[in-house]
Amino acid sequence: MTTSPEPALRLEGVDKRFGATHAVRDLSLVVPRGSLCGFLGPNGAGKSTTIRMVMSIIAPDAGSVQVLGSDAAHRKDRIGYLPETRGLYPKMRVGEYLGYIAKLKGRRDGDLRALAKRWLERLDLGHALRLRCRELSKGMQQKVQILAALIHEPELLILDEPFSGLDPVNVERLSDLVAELRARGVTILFSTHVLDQAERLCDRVVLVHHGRKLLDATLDEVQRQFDPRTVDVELLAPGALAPDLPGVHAVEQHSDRRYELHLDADAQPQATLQAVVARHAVQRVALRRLTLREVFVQLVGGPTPADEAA
Amino acid sequence: MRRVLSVARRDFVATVMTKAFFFAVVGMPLLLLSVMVGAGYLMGTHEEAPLEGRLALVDPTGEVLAAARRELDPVHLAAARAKILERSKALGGEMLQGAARMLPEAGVDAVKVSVEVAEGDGEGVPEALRAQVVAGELLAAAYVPEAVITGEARLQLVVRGDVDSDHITLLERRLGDAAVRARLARRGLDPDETRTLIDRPQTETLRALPDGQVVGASSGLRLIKKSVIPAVFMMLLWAGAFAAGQQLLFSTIEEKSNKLMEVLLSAISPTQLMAGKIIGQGLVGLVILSVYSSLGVVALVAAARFDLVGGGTLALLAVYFLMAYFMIAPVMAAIGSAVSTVHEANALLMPIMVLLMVPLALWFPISQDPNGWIATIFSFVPPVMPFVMVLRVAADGGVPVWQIPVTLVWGVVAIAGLVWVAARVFRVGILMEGKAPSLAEMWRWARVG
Repeated sequence: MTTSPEPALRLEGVDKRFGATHAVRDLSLVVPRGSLCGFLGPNGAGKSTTIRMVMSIIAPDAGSVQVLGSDAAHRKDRIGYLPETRGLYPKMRVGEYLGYIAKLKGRRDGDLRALAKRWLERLDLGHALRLRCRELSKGMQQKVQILAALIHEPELLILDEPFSGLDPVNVERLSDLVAELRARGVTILFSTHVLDQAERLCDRVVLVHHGRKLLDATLDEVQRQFDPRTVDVELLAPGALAPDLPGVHAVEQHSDRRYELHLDADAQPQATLQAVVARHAVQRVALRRLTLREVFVQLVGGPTPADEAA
Repeated sequence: MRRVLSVARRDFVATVMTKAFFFAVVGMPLLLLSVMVGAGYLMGTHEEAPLEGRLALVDPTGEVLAAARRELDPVHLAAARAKILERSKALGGEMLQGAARMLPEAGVDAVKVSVEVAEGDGEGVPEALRAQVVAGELLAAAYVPEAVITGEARLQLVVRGDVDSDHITLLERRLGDAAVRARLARRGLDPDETRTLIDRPQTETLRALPDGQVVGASSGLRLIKKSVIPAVFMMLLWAGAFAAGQQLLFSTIEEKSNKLMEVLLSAISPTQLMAGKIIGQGLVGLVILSVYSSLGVVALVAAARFDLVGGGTLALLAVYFLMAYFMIAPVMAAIGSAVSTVHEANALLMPIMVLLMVPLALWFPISQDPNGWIATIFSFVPPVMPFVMVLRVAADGGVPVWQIPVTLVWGVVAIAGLVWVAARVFRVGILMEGKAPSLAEMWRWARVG
């Protein structure tokens, strides 16, 4: 019998208050090693507070935070962290800054310059090694901040809104980097408002709201859990649908060619799809799947104005 | 500890390796020193304009003329000048001798004044002589009535408008001495012998210190040791500790306003961050102190009075600097962590500044009585104690030996308490955003943590 390795992150009954504000309520979650977990929630949901507790920046009032099988405070060197509120020393040179952060993260002197150069080149910033941080564009600064989270080659990487401020090209480049890190076995906890990105990159999601966990599942589990049991049909030519399609308990007509079929709870969607194709000339027939955004809206009750602004 | 030192190194390098720091700490003193040396050189090479001309003396008794000619004789003046300089050197070394050169008798060495007798027409300098002075024919005209020799009357001197102040003083004093000579002669006394008899002898004073040392303590040295040296030392300490504390404040605000705190705290604890910053800026303060102290030592060596400040006093200056800095620094770090701008920090600093002004206010009473009750009590009150101790240690007279180790131990205890309170404020403050807290709120953070 083999024992499974300790998860990258385990929170048990974590609770945190700031005066009258109950920021995190009895939060428990497990992020397995090697996974890419989206940590989602509207503004003020408790995401940043939770991440700060994982980083031992603040202490929980109750509960425990374990990272890589040990108390989080003892694992700081093995965690990379890109906070949402982040900056650089304007007068410091990029290479010096990355070396400094690496040293604080426990890397020894010696190969720090070469290490910084290698990572900068990886993000097309090789020329920036000797530039002062204030001389960089906003996008370049953002990339240097991301590198500061990676420079010590962590086993758990926490990215809080990593795409904010990046143009589409750099969003793609960063997405590729995240995917590459994951392929190398790095566990990634990824907090974002860009739900499309989260859906594309993550294999599991945790959704929190008002400090409580509302969802903690893989994307497949989310799809199953939030299956709308609806088939969209678009006929090639105007016409009526056959009345006795299997498993259908209600039909909504949106035009003379477009219909929405609501399935019984125990119906087999495959049988309904086959019956539609067999009896009608169809332009399109598909089992509807909820996007992560729709799941988010359904659970949270719609984005707040603050979320939209973000 | 390695990470704390990494933070300290970054803070030190970021502060010291700037043009502004170099100019403020090295450039400014060098500039001041250059100006002082230049001014000294110019003063040394400056030649006083000669005092030349005729002095008409109305001397109804005929007893003052010879004495006046003698007093204004260049050979006699040179002898008087040499005597003044010799005395001043014995009193307080090169520094007092330098000051003595400012005296008219010691500074004016080119005097060619011929004294002529003139007829008077009643009380005062006659109108005709005044007219000659105005016309520039005479350098000056003087009237010495008999009452000057017998009693308390004044002599009258009229000088040309372009004669400078030192020259006028010289003429006043020489004519006054001439009148004294005439008085003594009338009483049958030898003026030179009498002057020698009434000349107060010099005293070689030595001070026996509690540590067994016996040091020179002439009046000039006492003045310098009692007032000047302690004040200089305290100002040095105050400026060094406060400048370093201010750098710590600015550096903390910079990191907070540049949104670096979370990045740093993801690697180290708030206490490690604060400790690293305090050490780094403490080294900056030591650089400031070393530069200014070195300049002071150079100045003392140049003045050949290194015995004014012993090596032990300099060592204690460094120790009490560290104490002063480590009392100011935690407060600065705590305030820097709680605010986002220097403007906000200034409001919180005001009461701290008032507290730090106390040693400046105490300078006079403590320098007058370095072992009095005010000095002794404030030697144990943080955070003013290191400043007071430096005033006392540098003052002439010495501090009871037991007080030094006791203040050092008590200072370390006080620092530990201040660091503990500041660390609790720091770890809350660095993550705070928005409106700056009040001091009361910061105190609540310290209590609650």
